[in-house]
Amino acid sequence: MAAATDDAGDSNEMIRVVSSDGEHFEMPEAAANLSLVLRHMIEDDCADAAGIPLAVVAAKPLAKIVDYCTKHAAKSSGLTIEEAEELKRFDAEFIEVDTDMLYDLLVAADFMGVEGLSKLAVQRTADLIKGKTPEQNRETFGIVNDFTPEEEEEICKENEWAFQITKPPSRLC
Amino acid sequence: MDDDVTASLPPELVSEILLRLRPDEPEHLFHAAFVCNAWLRAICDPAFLLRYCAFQVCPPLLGLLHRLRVIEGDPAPRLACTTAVPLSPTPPFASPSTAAMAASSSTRGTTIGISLSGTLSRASSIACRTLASRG
Repeated sequence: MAAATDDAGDSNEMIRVVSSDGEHFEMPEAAANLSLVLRHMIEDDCADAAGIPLAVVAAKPLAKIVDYCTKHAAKSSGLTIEEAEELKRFDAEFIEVDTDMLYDLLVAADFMGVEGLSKLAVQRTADLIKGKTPEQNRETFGIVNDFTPEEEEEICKENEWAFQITKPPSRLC
Repeated sequence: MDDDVTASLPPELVSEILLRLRPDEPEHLFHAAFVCNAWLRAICDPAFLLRYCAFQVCPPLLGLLHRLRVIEGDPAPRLACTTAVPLSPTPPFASPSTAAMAASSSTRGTTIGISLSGTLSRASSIACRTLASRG
């Protein structure tokens, strides 16, 4: 169960959600409303005691998402500068995760329609891509190089001038 | 780690990620295009380039391509990068008019301003050719 009851926001009602691997979580309705999918389910009276099933979200990313939504729902309106700074710090720490979790968060936030988290995860991924050679990016994200050697050679040859910017072509391809 | 983590993301999420590579160092986007076919396709998509220019306000200038013309054989063009070493007198080159000024002031050879969209359409043509030849 997620530790999500301290900042309940305005709404006292708790919404139950069930992960794809059958784990139950609870969060305040204000937090659930940050997810487009959950908000529609609540509006359609689909939020019952059994919980809203989220078929493609596993327990680990769901626990993180519940934490994110609870924190942001509690601080959603009338923020002081200090509170805004604190929320920014929370976001920065929250998204310091490994690439597996980052991938899960990207997919889950997109599926659940949590816009703020989706933007945060997308920006974090872009930050990880920056300043890396293609090979380093493949290593970081576990991507298979699906260019044929002929294609690689042609790309390097045709764009040799661009690779002069930082490194010789042999290290990039 | 799963194989092919980011490549298995939905294409629209890949685009969202690549959209956020800042243009102040445009080679980041260029290098990302050569990670795998999915990323190359995403970046070379004309719709992506339009969104990128709108999202990042203006298309960045990668650099100036300096091509010497000699009687016997042309040497490979040399890129004078605008991001690493700003060229005087008005760095950084951000607008086509500045690039045109630089081009017209060149006396030894041909200097061409290379913008990100121009670069990637060039990469796009390579990708199209390689994909077509693969069948």
